[in-house]
Amino acid sequence: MRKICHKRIENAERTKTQIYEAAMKLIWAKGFESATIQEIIAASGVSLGTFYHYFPSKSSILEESFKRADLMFEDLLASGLPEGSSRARILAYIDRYAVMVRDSGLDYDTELYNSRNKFFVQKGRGMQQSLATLLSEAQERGELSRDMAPEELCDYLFVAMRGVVFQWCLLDGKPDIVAMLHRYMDRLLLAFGPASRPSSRA
Amino acid sequence: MASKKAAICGILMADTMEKAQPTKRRQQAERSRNEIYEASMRLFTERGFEATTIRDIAEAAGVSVGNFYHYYSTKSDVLEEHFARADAGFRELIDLNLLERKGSDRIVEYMEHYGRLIQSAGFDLAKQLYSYRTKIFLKGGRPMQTMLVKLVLDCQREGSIEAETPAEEVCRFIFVSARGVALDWCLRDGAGDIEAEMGEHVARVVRAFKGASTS
Repeated sequence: MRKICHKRIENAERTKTQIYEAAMKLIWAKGFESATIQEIIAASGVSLGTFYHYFPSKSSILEESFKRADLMFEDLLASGLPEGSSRARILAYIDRYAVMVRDSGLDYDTELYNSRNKFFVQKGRGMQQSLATLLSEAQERGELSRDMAPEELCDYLFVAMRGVVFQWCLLDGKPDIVAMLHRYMDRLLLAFGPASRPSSRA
Repeated sequence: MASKKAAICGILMADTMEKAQPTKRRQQAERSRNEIYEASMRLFTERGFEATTIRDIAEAAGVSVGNFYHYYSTKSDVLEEHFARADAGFRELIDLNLLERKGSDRIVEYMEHYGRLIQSAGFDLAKQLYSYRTKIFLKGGRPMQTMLVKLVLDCQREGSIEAETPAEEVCRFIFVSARGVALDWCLRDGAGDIEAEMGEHVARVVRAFKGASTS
């Protein structure tokens, strides 16, 4: 009996992933706004009823993508970051974020103010929490100044990162976003260096 | 290109015309142009740039479609004028105030003005501007950016920020973050004081350009 249950859960998980992956592929190709649920079920070979069983709406696909992103960043934090300076660890996190943006099929050719991005700002908290943890670690080690709370600093960096992604969109997604974001954030982090620089006048 | 020039000239001429004692006809023309401008901006804000037709604009401004084309050759021209008016504000701020003073706080003040501009344009319009169709307006080379370059150069010369990075790059760097602030504000449906947020954010960004020699 337990075995059957287990198998059923596995199957359900597989169907959900199948729908999810087909949806993301379509969203990647057409943009979130123009991909329809009809297309998603056609591509994943399930009925409309099955779709709604797993995802109550198209936005819940996005919700799933954020959940998966949160998990990915949690894993990254747990075991995927280089040992060494906090700065290098923060930049490795940022690199991964850029890879995610690059591969997520962001609608850089449509509106930037859209439900998907809005959603991200409101709900993309799990992945931000991972960065806040890294920032807090950097402050403890004295690599970053403590004049902003880690969560506040994290919000600050995300605003700037979205600015870079926006710039990348303005350039039609042509530059290498990973290199572009890395360079930008590497520089910006200088603004948060240890506050107590020995004064030459003292 | 020619239309852009025309729009900017329109702004510059606004000064000279005042001095030249405008004729009645000229005054009337200026008034019509302004009515079309105001009606367009109102409609862009309410309905979106894409969804607004020239017929809608003419109707709202109480002029004929032909009359619209007398003053503007396209819908984008009106938006260009919006930016030209904004640029005129920056020019005034720079020439009359900022270049006379010292310190890197001037960059913060300049960008606060940018925040103020977005705030006064309102969330609905800003949201429209942050979309693909209008993204051409957000690209570099506009007076709003070149004037900041001037200010950055001044700060580099006096040593309040480091001079190793080319001023254009510093300016681009600042605007990238500033647009992040604006986008964030839009995504929060215009909640919060964008002018203050812009100032606080940019003050930090500027710190990233304080080299060891300027500490």
